[in-house]
Amino acid sequence: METLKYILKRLAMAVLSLFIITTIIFLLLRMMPIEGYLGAGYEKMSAETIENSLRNLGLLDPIHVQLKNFYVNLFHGDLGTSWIYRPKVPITEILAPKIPISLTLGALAMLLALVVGIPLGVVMSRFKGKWPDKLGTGFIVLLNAVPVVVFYLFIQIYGSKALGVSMLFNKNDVSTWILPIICLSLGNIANYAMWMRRYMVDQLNSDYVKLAMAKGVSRRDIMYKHVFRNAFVPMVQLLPSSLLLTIMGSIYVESLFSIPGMGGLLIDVIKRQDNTMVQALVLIYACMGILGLLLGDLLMAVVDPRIKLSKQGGAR
Amino acid sequence: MNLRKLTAFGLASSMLLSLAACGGDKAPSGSNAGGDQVVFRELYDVEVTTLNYLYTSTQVEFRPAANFVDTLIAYDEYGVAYGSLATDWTTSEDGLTWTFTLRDGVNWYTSAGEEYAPVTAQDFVDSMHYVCDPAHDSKTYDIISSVIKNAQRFYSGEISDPNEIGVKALDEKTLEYTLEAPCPYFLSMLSYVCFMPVNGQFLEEVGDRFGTSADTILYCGGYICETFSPQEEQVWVKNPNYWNADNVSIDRIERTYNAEATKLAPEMYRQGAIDEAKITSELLNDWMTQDDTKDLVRPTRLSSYTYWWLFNFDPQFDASYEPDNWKIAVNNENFRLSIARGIDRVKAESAYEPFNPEANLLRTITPSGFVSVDGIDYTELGDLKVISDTDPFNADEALSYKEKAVEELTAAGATFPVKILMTYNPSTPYWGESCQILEQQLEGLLGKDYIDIIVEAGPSTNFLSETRRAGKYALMLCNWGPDYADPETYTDPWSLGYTYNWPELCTDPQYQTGRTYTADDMKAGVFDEEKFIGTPETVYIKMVQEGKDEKLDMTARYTAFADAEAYLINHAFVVPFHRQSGDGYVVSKLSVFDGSYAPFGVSSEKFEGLHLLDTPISMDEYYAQEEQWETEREAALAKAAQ
Amino acid sequence: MGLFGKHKVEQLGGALTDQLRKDLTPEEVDALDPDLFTPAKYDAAAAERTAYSNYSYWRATFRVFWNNKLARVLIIFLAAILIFTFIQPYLPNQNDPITILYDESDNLLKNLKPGEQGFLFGTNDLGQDLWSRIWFGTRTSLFIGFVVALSQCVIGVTMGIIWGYVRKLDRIFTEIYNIVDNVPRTIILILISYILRPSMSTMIISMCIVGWLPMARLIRNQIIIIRDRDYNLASRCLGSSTWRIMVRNLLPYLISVIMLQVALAVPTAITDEVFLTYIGLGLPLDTPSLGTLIIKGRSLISSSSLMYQLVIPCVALSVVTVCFYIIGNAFADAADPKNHVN
Repeated sequence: METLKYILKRLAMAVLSLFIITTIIFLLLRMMPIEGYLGAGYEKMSAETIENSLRNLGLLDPIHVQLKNFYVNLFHGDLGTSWIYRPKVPITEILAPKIPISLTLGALAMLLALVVGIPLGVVMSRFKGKWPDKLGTGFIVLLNAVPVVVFYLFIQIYGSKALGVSMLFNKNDVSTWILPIICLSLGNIANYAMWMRRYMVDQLNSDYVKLAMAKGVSRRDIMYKHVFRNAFVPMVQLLPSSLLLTIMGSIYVESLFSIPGMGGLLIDVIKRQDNTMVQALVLIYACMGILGLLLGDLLMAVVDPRIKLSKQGGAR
Repeated sequence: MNLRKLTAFGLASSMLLSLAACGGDKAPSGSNAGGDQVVFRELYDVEVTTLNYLYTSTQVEFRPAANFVDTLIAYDEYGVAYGSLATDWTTSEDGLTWTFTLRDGVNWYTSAGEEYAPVTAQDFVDSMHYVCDPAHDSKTYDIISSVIKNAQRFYSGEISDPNEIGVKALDEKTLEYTLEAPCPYFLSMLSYVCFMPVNGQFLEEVGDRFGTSADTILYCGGYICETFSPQEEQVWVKNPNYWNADNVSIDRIERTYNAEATKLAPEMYRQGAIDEAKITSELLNDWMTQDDTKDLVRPTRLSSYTYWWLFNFDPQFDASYEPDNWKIAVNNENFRLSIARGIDRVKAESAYEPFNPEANLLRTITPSGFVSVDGIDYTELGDLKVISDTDPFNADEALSYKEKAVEELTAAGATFPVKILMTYNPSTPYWGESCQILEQQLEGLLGKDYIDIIVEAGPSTNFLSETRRAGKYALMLCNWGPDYADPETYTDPWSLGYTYNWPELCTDPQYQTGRTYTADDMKAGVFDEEKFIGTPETVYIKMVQEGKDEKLDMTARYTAFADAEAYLINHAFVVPFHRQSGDGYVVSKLSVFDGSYAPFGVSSEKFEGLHLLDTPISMDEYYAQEEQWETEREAALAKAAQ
Repeated sequence: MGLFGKHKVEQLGGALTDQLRKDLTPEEVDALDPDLFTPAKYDAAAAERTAYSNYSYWRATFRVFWNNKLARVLIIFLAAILIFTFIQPYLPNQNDPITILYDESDNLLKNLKPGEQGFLFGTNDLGQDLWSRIWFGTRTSLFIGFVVALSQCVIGVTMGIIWGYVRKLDRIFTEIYNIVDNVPRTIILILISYILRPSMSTMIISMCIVGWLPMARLIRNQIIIIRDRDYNLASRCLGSSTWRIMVRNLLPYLISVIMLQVALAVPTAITDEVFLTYIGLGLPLDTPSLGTLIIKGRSLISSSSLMYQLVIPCVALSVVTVCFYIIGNAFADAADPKNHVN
């Protein structure tokens, strides 16, 4: 009951945040220059046609009327139609096939990161200061340091050669999924491994482990019954940030591999000044961010009984 | 570490395999669909936003339009007009009424390839009504607004009956256009998207969804769109019922979207996954020096978009760039000429085209090969001939002009060095680099004590409004593309009301006729903004008007335009630079010179006539073929002129 | 002193004498300074001095940091790079990074391999010297990195301290944070850069706008932890102003956290710059940065012979960012008092 109440409260807050975010984005978008709405033909358009185009887009209305229309439509579940990216096509229709692709890829990449990153962190902490640790640290530092713009491209060109798979994504050909998923997961692998190692080391240094050692509990038991479990709890906190990292990665990865998802779309529609599309995408991303945070908090309460949801407030 | 990576690979693939096993899979679409089909595969990076050919004005969207829907008039491989959907046409004596007889047996097909209805004269009437309706927001409406009778009045709401617009279906196969004024180049306009037909009944059925997907348009051209999934792929298949299907030799076109196509395409071509790849100027050197690739790369055909540097006569830029000083300087002809003669265009071009820069350079505003009369190319007419025959870069002349300019400008109270603000758009490839080269070369030649070129990046969005239209430049590369087959189309930028370089504001009286515009001129429609009342008439505009008024004698008309254009260049209002080839260099299995050729309209976007070769042609072969094509073209044009 | 009676003092003295007799030989006892055994006079200054140890937080921090061999090497290396970016243009025989170079017969010196014709890193396709471009680019990128890191730090710390310390504001700030934190920062970064005209200042402003909030939150959390500690309560009871408590009692505690954040903000800003350049919002051509060099080099990735134009700036960027990462982390380790005991 307590939990339900908490979740409801959080959801109410989420709706408020979404309202504020969309308003801000809406206003920011209205600061964009008009040239971008008219495309390449702008050069040869007469003043009359320009005005007509802007009127058709509703851009000549006063800003508060535009905002009101937007919310009225949104309230009816209508995200509107795209302006420029695909004129007159309802946005829901454009996004419907794209969201599952992005979600599947993102989820697989996060799963892969979990399956590789956590053991990597454990191994590194187990051999702290020895070569596996050093190698792992080098790997993590390198992933953090080299711009993703570059190493994704390397993976794509040389990875496709090495594996003999196509450079471009094809949703019906599973072999083409491998490289994008690897690209998407690398950042999170580094993150998971780094934090897992840190938490494991913290736990290993703690007094109860020293006591257990002194009592003669087997190292194996200490590692898996105590240290790993305790170190894993704070890892749940990483969920929201790794979600954001995956979204960020999808912007590059989806445009590189021709993946028809949402990531590549965002930059494209911002560049094309397709306001309705930008608003819809921001809304979706913000929802994902909020859900990620909520999920992280809930999971935290599940794995760590000491945490009570209802009492928690404040910034994370 | 390797072990880790291996595990990762194994894991990812096993996960994916299980995933794929769950979903019902269809075979990946490869190039081997069908036995003897000729398939062309390419990668593209700018997405087609709509298939609504009556709405768009974007080059990338002309490509599907041109291949899906036919026009009344089309152009063959030599640029000679032929009847496509029309078989015959006549014009009334006053040049105001054009009557077309339509081809029999041409039908509309749906994206599934089913016959929908015959193409009738009413389809052209419906499309014209669609374009003229402001609610449809057609981006190409401006092309027809002053040409078709009553189009403008309908658009502005002055009349409400669309049937008053000057287009009529006399019967099922006879179409009649009525014009506002005689228009010698009307025929060439018909190959543009806004004159394409549309089936009215279908338009009503799909309503607002017209052109938003493959099944919301009808097809009567060489290809039918089988798949249109933006950000993914497009598949076009040959329309077997196309009236000229024998001329279509590529059966299937598979286009895959990739935002990074320019980076990936060369590598994918090497892997054999696609049949055409653009080789950017950065990579060109590499491909041209390696033995296995040097015979694969060829240029593409030059576009008719021409680029020239303009001197701004209405400087509105920041005081720190000294607009007043610039105003003194730019009104001095010797100053302008010293720069016009001083620009080493080959060097400036090398940023765009490092391999063969001369090929793209232009000496005139209108490119050669655009129009010709009696077998003489427009650029060889009148005063333009001398300009076409001399290299404008001449260091000695430039220096002697500089000497005169220094003397005159000092007397006029200008300070040296004259600051020259040069703006470029950072999102246009190589523009900035070219400006850097030019700055260094020109300052080196004329001396840093004479000019100080300031290269500045403009905003990448809203660029033209912020720079050129706002007058915030001193010297800038500007461009213009033709709308129809007449040199008049290249005179617009220097007409009243255009925001290019405002030659009418030049204070030197030698460029003015001495007449100033009055309110009567505005009533007569010479210009439509009140602010021009009191503006002096320029010699150039008067010269252009002479050409415009000559509607029957094409030689006289073209010569008048040529003289006007030469006037602009000789007095250094404009410094012609180059025209760009459509795609720069490519490695491509497509043939080149058997496709449609037209510097205007959308005919040149057609795949009709093109063949797929076993191996790409080389640079030398390209130039050899081009030479042969030019000879054949001359003969074809001469034949057509008879 | 007055708290204890004379009796107690005497008792203590006697016990001490007994103990000394037990532990030391009579000779050693005689050698002791008799002054040590007379009661000390009351000294106000000495009374203020509490339990003294030669432990100094900063000294220990630097000692631990300095003992980390890798960090020591890297910080010297980084300092050397930093100094070199500034003196490089003044060294003899350096080319201007944007001048296009021609040989005597006016041929463009383009795409020269590293080492060819005396160009250490070769030239690019435009005939510009990559060596000077790399150094110029490193300087630009580091400049952006430092400016962003410092302004983020100033804004973030100020806001964070106010947020954490002034309870009334906590709720508002927290709500604002929760809202803004939900939008991926990339979107905000792109939007701001689009609306403003692309330039160095736009880039810095947009990065600061997205960057200060996480910093403020971190500071706020630290403050909450420290805020209600006894010494702060005591200080407040004694009437110290809020401002004084913030600046004198809280800020010093946060130095290590701030330093770490600044060290990590520099590489983040540099990678953000690459990202903005990637989506076409980079710096103009006359100010080469590592971002513009890398994005330009990317178009050559399929060409093995020209790849050096991509690899060199990538290496430069990686070296800089790796240095900051390792130094930042080493410093964070060193700043943790637990690591001071050895």
